[in-house]
Amino acid sequence: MSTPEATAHRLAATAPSLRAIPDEHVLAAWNDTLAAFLDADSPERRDLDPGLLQSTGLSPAGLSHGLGSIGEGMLGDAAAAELQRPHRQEDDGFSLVVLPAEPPGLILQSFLPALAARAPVLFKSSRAEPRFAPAFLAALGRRLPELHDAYAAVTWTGGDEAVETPLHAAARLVVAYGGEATIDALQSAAVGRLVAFGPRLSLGWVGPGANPEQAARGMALDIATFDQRGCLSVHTVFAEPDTAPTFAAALARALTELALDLPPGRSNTADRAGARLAREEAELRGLDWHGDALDAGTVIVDPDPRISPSPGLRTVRIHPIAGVPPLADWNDRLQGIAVAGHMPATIRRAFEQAGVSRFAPAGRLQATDAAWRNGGIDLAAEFAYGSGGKPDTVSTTTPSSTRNERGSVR
Amino acid sequence: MTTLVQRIEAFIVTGHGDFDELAAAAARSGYERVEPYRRLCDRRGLGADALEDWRLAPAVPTSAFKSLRLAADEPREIFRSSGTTRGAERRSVHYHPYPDLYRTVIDASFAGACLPAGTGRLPILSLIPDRAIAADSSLSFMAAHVFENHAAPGSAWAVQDAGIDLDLACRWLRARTEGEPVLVLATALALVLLLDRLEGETGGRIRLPPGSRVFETGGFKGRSLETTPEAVRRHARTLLGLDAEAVVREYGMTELTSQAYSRPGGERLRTPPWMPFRVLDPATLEEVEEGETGLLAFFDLANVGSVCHVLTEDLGVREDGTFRLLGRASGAELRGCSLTAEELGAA
Repeated sequence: MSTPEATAHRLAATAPSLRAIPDEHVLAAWNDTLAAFLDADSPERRDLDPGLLQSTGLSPAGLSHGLGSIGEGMLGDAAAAELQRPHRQEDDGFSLVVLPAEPPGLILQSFLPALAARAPVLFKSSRAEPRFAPAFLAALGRRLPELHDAYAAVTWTGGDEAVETPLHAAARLVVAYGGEATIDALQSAAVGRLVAFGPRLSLGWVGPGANPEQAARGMALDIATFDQRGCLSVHTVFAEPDTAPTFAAALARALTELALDLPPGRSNTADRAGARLAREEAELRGLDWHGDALDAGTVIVDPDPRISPSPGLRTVRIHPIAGVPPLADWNDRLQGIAVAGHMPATIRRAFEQAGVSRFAPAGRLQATDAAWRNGGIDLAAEFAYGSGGKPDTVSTTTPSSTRNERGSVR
Repeated sequence: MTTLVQRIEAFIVTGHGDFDELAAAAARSGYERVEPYRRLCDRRGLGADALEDWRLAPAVPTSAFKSLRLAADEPREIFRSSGTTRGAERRSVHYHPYPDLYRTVIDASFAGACLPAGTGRLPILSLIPDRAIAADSSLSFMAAHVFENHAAPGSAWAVQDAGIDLDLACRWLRARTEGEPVLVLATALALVLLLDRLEGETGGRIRLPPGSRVFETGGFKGRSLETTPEAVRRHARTLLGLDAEAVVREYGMTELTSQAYSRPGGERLRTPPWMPFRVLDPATLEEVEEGETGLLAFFDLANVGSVCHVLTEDLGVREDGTFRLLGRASGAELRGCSLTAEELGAA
């Protein structure tokens, strides 16, 4: 069996032939493959889904909806526009992409730019979700065999220096989605150019003029998609003080109704414990909260405007607020905002300054398209030009290793 | 109130008395003296009379200490949690009116759990900051009291404003490989840093005198290291030349006054008689069967100055009257298009 390093060198050698493939051939194969992976009745999905449902814990409807939210905006004209961009990898060599465990299908967001740049890539799948990436690459390779040797997805134990040190040294570029430990480890490793997508969360905004019922239906979708496990999942909603109570009640109803179409996935004890603690704390503080079954959603109206990450299980806090929310603690940890009603320019600027890179109408936050630049980073350009031999880091989060630690725990 | 505190103190010191009766009195005291707790009980239709069984007293989630003042009396110490390295989270505050009760708890439990029988004063190295550096740390309060009662001349604090003084710590340890046993007080993270430094130094491993002990507490507080607390304890035994019973784990938190300890060398944790624990089903808050995982709740009589019944964010399982920690409730970690800490271990 080939080692990841040997695989990577095989990929690197394909760069010249990759550049020779016409755009229209790549586009046709991409569209055909992606369409198959968005169709739950396709042979590809019938093969993939049992394992993917097991590893992700999502419900079947939740999996299909989630994959659709990532993939539907990457079909057809949107994909064509990306593939026709001018960035091309002119030298030989490969890039390494470290994929996250969740949400599934996130490979699409780095793969299309890599195809556009004609950049050979070795994808490292997570051991927790090792299925989607190799299945997608294999399906694409069947449709356009010239791509088969340029892309591979493999899995190894994260932190295995015997595997990673030579790979990091040889890669033109490392793109990593990961928790702080992964990003910290890569930043301290001998990596050339590193593009790091650290953990983030997303928010909602219910401003003047919003219809609470309509806003709630949209926001419920942004909360429920991928069961709150994506960086574009809404954890907290800021709402006008007058609207917040009505909106909260409407959101609780919308989450309950949505649970029929998008049933919550499998929950574990830690998630249930987190949601329970959120409810208990709300009750102790005398806050208004709504919720029935623990895994179908909890809506808490919290006058304290500070952001708290959701424990999951569709738990969300509504913060009534009249002005700019306190965001300083969350700089570079916020991804997107689902917007209902009017968002004043000052508020938008505050979110942008905190690192928010996506504003979308409520209900569309997680429905990204090919033109979305996660963190403002143009991955096609990154794949095309790599490091040029210069170590560098483009990070979407502040590395935790720069922070002080005294060692006291209580 | 003074009488109740005295009765609790007597129970802690002598073990004499009726825990259930004291616990009911402490729960009623919480109802009468801690406003947010009374409101919670009232909302649940539980008056003071309904708190006769401590198990029925609502357990307060530790997160409530981040936003509410839960004090039954004027505080004489204010303890704050250190937070994690991410810095974006709120910190718990424990307004403690009875620091002497805290000292009584330490006296009643620390030596028995951590020191070989018959040990008098002994040289102590602390990798926990002293109170001059961390005045609001309950762990530092505890370490200071341990120093006061157990430290022999030559004991040292190895934490400065800038962090752990690993040079001092290593020098101190290397100078004490012969003679009387020593005690090292450390957080798990501090222990990792110490072991890394020792391992990297010329001379490497050392052999501390027989009977030496390491007191280790806490996890890595948001620091993701490529190791586990269990592995750190094994490594400590190897690198410091300690016997299998030398490392004692302590489980404590800002929100509790009392602590649980492992048996020397063990992994499972045992609470003292004045702090029973239960493992609760998150869906119902009913107690789960032995061997099933759930949320850990403690009824700490020594918390009579705030609220006694505390629902933690820790998951655990009951085993033969002890508990084993199995992780944390979701919520503390920021997720989103990323690997979780758990995933890092499995990736």
